[in-house]
Amino acid sequence: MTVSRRDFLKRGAIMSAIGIGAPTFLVKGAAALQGRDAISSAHAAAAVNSGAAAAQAAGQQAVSDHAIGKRILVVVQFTGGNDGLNTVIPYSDPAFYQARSTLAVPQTQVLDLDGKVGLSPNLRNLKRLYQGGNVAVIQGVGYPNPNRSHFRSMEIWQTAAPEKAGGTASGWLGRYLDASAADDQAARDAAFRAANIGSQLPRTFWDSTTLVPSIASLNSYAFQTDTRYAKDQSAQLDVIEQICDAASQHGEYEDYIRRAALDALGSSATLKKIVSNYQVKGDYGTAAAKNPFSDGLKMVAQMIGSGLETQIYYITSGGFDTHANEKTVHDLLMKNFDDAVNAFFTDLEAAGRTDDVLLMTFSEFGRRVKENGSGGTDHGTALPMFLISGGIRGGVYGNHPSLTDLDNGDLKFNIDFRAVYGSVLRNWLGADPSLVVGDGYPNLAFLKS
Amino acid sequence: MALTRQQVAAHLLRRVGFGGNPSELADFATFDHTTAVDRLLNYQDADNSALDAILAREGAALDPAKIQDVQYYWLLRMIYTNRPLEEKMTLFWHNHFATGYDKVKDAVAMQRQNNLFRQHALDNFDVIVKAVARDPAMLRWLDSNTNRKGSPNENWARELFELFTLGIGNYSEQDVKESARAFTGWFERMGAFYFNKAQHDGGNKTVLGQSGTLNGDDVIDIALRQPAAGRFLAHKLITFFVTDQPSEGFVSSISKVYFDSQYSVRAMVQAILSSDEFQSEANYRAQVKSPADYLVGMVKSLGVSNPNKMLAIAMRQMGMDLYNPPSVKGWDWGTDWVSTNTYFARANIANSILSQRDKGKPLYTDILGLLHNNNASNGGDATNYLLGLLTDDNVSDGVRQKLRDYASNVDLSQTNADADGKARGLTHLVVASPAYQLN
Repeated sequence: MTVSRRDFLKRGAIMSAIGIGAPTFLVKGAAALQGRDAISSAHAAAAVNSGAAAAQAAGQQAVSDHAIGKRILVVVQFTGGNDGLNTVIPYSDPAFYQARSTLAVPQTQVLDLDGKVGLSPNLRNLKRLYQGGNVAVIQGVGYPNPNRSHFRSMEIWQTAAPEKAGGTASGWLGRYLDASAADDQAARDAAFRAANIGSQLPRTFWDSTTLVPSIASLNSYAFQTDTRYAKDQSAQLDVIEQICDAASQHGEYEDYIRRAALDALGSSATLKKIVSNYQVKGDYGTAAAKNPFSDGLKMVAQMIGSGLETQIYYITSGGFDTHANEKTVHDLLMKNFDDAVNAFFTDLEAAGRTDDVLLMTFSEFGRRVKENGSGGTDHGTALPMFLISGGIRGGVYGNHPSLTDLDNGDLKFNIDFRAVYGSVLRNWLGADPSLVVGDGYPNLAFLKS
Repeated sequence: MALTRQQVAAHLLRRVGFGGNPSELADFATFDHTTAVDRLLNYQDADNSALDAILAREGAALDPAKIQDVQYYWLLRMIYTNRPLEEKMTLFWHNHFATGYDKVKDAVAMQRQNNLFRQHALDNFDVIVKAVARDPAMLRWLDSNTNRKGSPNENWARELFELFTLGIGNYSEQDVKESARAFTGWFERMGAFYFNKAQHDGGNKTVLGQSGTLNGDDVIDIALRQPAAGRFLAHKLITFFVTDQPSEGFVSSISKVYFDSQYSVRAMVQAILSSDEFQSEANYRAQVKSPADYLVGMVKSLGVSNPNKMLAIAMRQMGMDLYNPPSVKGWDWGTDWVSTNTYFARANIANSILSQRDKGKPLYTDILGLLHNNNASNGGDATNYLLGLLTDDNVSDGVRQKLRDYASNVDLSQTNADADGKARGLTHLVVASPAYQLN
């Protein structure tokens, strides 16, 4: 079956309709989750701005904001376990300085937020954005029965389904994409509803039938042909598309590879067409600085600035597993993040999109209260999340976990991360959270009213 | 339809090594399975002097302190070795005891760890684990120098249980804490293992139900004795060589070999390669080529000459930065190798290599020569030859015809620019095809 190149632009969820599906062992069936037990109301009441009424009002008023091409979510994953206590610093609690005799940032250097906690001194731009009302700091985020294994905890955060172990759960954003595409023609037709910046698709999107390309750089994201035999380029592109479109000889893996190749070829054409003319305004550092996170966020800025309809971006920043030499490493991580976010918001301002884009940070866990013997900290539990946007109500949400009433040396969480996801889904994306994270999680009313 | 001898030989060389060049394929097609497995398993008997000569020649210009040079050195081994299983097992251990240069920051130490994996590739597992527990790169990777009496660092103890020997669910947090104490004082000093007695917690500990003044070796012995240990290693090896969906029976049988043979990896690998599952058609071309399989296989099949460090860069672009796995869990295998982005990486790297027309330049391939030497001088014959060589002929008639049509508007019997370009284009299309990505 021959398919013209134009047809590729509309593939996305149509893939399964023409007989190309993901291997059966990857497709997990129904997107809907089992109901969940409501979390303890003690946690909820103590921590969260109650917002049921606000949520309802927001949902009714902002229907058009949720349309594809309007509201954008950029998920930033800090990989390795971000030391929340060195990011949002509880400088007003003496127990903090007792626990971290060498690591704790002195009070005078902390960038105060609310008189109780403050930001790492390496987050100056973030502090400025906070003063502008554009940063919501959500404290004490975690989940029950915390797991301190990188892989297991990251799997939990990426699937929002801790009851499913061993790699069997689908990704939370994958479920969102599928559930929302079910009754939204615009979503189904979008060539690029979501994009992963990097080379390997995280579990967060697994099992979705929606195309989510993994883009490491715009130039490399294309099928290149022999420049010394240029007259044959068109013929080669036609043939490779036809080969990738033909029926598989060898079953599931070949199907999967064909799908990836077709998605690549089609999305590459789309991307090239749309993005090539946009010049970034922010300063993302020089090539020599080698900050892949900044390079990635720059690409997101290009894609947003060029008017691409992509609704979800996913980007990771690695190196957060600071068991040793944390001061040097974490300072640099914070600075890189801060500089990149600053550049990113410069571009959003220039494009008039600051109110449309929400950047959300998370990590698979925070780190232990007490520093270890090697100038670092070991795997912990609860940590803060940032929500950064012109379209939200900034501030510090929730209480800081106690530094003395601990769970085996680790912070007890106040807010379940599924409440944060659910609030973003409901308030920002206009989606029903119960299909993605289940029911019973309190709402955080972080939208600008 | 049963597999032909050629297909079985190709399958074996892909799984046990990184694919065979035409002469290796011809050789192995004449062996029965037992002989073939025997030949590959007893690699110590294989003469590797040709590889040694290449390593000596290329190695003279390399800097052992530069990780890219060290990566390239290993790729040369993979391409030119006469002991494919030796290199494949080295890669297996590198993935299993995943240690990253980005943190270790010592290329010499990484090379030494690589040598350790090669030296013990088919050894008894307890010997391997105890050697790795003392390996300087590993010690640095998991912060062992900070694992001190009274202030333990759990990093190594956790990964030992979770990723190296038992798997999640087969130990408790308390086991990890106690195990960390047993390994206190296991330091690295000046690039070598050093037992810091003063930092060692010699007190009583309980790990996995066993108590005593346990030290690190004791903990390893206790762990490897667990039923979960046999299954864990069996599952890992089966996934690497045969299928990522092994049957319960298959895992059990290889786990039994683990215990019966006092943890002999050689015995386990022999049992796996000799199994019905390995030879079954269900598992033929039922893996996805890792970047190593893809790149090394292509170089060998097509006779790419003038090897060059760009091969190491290509590996990173395809998602397999040797000596730098994405985490202590190693790389994600199978379909994870092929995303939209890595599909382009593979196709574009192949394009870059195949576009090289200058005989003296790096990574040069004489495609037209290859075709002409195999009596392929028109589009149809060239297509048939390449599909046989590269995909075991596993493409549909429709795809074959499209390629033949593509290749037939130029006279391939010539040696002019048109014929050269068309031959290179055809080869590129085949190696960029989904069929070629299967292992």
